[in-house]
Amino acid sequence: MSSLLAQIPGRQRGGGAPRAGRRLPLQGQQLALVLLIAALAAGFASQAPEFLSVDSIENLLRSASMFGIVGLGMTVVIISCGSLGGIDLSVGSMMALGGAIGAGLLGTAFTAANPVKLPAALAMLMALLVTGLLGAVSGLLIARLKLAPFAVTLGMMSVARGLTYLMVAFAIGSSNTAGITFSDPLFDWFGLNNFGPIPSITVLFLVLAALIAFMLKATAFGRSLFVLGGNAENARLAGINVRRTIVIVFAISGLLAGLGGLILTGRLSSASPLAATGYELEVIMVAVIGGTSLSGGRGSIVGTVLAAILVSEIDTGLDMMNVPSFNQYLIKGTILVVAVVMDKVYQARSSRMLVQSA
Amino acid sequence: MVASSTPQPLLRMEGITKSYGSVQVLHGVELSVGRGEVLGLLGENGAGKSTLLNILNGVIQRDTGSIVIDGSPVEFTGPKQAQEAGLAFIHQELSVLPYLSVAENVFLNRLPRRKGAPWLVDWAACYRQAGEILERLAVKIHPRTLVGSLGTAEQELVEIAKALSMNARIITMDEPTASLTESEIERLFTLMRALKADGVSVIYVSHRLDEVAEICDRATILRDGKIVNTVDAQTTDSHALATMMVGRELSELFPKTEHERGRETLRVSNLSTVKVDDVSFTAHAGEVLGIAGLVGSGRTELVRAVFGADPITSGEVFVNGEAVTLDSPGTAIRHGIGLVPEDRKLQGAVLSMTNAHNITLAGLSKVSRWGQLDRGGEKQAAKRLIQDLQVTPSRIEQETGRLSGGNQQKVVLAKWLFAGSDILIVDEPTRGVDVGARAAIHGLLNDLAGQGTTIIMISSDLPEVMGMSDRILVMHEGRIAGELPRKDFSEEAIVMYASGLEPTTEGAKA
Repeated sequence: MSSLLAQIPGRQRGGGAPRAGRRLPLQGQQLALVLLIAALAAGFASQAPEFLSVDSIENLLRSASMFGIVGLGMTVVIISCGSLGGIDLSVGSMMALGGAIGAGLLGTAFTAANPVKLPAALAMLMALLVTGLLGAVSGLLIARLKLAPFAVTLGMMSVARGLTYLMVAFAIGSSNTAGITFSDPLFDWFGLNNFGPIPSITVLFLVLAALIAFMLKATAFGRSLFVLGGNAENARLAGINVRRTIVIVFAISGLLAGLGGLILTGRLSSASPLAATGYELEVIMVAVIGGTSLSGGRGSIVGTVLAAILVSEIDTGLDMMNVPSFNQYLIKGTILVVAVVMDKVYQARSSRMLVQSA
Repeated sequence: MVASSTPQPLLRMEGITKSYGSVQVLHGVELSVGRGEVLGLLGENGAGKSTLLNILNGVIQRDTGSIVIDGSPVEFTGPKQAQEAGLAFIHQELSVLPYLSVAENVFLNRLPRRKGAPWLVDWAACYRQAGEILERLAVKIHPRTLVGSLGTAEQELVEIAKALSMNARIITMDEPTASLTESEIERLFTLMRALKADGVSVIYVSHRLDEVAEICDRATILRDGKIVNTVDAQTTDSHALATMMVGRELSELFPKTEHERGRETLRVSNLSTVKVDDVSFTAHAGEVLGIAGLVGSGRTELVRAVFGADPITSGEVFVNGEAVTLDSPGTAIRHGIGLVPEDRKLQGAVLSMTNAHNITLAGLSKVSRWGQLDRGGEKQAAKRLIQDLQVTPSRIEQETGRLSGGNQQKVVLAKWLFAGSDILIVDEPTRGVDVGARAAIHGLLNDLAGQGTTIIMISSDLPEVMGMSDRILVMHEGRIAGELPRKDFSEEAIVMYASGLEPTTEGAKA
């Protein structure tokens, strides 16, 4: 059997260090992200020196935290359901819906036609409840009826957007795309408050990231997500309740999207039915650039956090350089496709090594 | 060394070397195949067989050495050139397309075109020509049948038909019998003899040594990337072959140990599913219960139902005397049942995860408290099991997908050892597993039975199921056709029951 040892790719590549075969690519990717963030910062700063101003960095952190929080949910969805084609396209609309519910149920809304007037905390809770439940509905359809996640969440994207319009109309008494404006201290905490130099939502983001990372790495539930992402039938035969897991995962994504929507609403001090349109692109970028494999079973929260910073940096930097928005779409779309290609290249490389060792 | 019987062999490979990075996997390999000869190529997993065959068939390029076909040297830059030179490669995992017809599969990429309109497919000619090839093979499959509706054995015949349609002169078959039953193997061998008579040569890879004597003319044994010997397959017994492959004396192939049969642990009463019809049986602590029968006879479906993986339509299952509702594998696992499935890659191990994570997969509650994992404890437990089962390489952080088949299977077994299963169901546990790992797995199953575990073993390999079991149930068309106690084991009795016949009394006693 000693001949087998000679066949293991990790050893072929001179991997004297343990774990060299498995861990290096991820670490390399995270290192690359850090370098890319630094290089882009230098690049943007050379074109627009105000990029490194306190205001700009604060703005960047707020945006990164918002996309990052929603991206945490996306990361969990793709890790666990990637083998089923798992993705959540509804996050942009869910953000809009969360914001509209949170603002629309407020007692402090300026456009005070809304019949329901709740304290801000309760309004926010309602928002999270609704988006979390809608996420669970997506999960239920995917798990029970074995529907493609892409199709279900595409439908949910439209349903949530429709509900957002209804919610805004309900709150201000007429359909008005301008949306709900309000002033509320709790929303300001989300949108404007700082802990020292760091925006409060950045702290919230890092706490949530740590929680999710702990869940993935150190709990039995987290482990079952990686198993499910590796192979769903396998997960079932290992005794994992696959249906329940899928429902929970999409509920988490919906809930975090709702939270992202509340943050967006706090930053803008208004909730528009058109809010967060197309934000699913940024959120999927955050997960994929962070190293989460679209085929499932692989991903890291550190990567997601770094990618959230990178994606927001690109957004902020391009804005500051006055790059027209259509060019921004072009650039961001290209970056996403490149990230997916890199994932494929990594997979092809590891499966080639499998063939050689067979 | 036995010299080739023909003065000029059809194929000669000389001095083939191949390295990946700093690791040399083939060291000057020599191999020759005569016209109309069946050459067995034997070796443990990792001995270099796949590399050698991939080089021959143009899939990968050699570093040095020469390949001579019919006296002229050839140079393949890809599989297409090799095909054009008359080589065909039938992989263990078949490459047929299930949603296409037999004829379309046979003529894939080379569909006959209409005269005068070469952009249109001449379907009439396509089905006619495919029909002719199938007829030549004496295969009764209609060329319009969807390949997905055929069994594995028939799909393999489609692959052979495809090879012949390309005028292949040298067909490489990588473990063609791995998923075939005895009668299907017989049929394949009949076909191979017909190919021989037509002057077609076959390079035949198998882990089943008894087959080598039956079908091969000579056998070449590869170990650690070197040719150990080339022997006359007819006069060399399988024990000698195994010793050459492993490089050491093997202890007896099936070290059956007798132990006390304990209390009843599993009782299945009148169980039916879509594929299983009114099956009842019992199993006991310390017993190895074999389940034989043809592929498709409902063996796999029966154990999947007992494991809660397939829905039970009627009947009852009792575990340790208690009636249980097996609605999911999770429930079965909580009742101490484990299943090592037939399809290791898709159902047994999560190939993208590490050995440690695979091993604790079905018993996470044992290394967690309030849902939080004790990762130190997990590593220790995994390390111990990897050592006990001699998984190589022994790193717990190794991705399971990078292990050989035999070692992957050991990891799957370790998973159930960790989960502490009292009733362990193994479905074709040694398929595609090399001789050394095979013996280790058999030894492990015996040890477990000795410790009071109930082992239920499905196997298409008659010597294996007879060597290992205390009792054998034979299935036929979803029912239990017969039950044999160890003293009445005979290949004939099993084959008769499996074919839906009553064995003659002499047969049962033979």
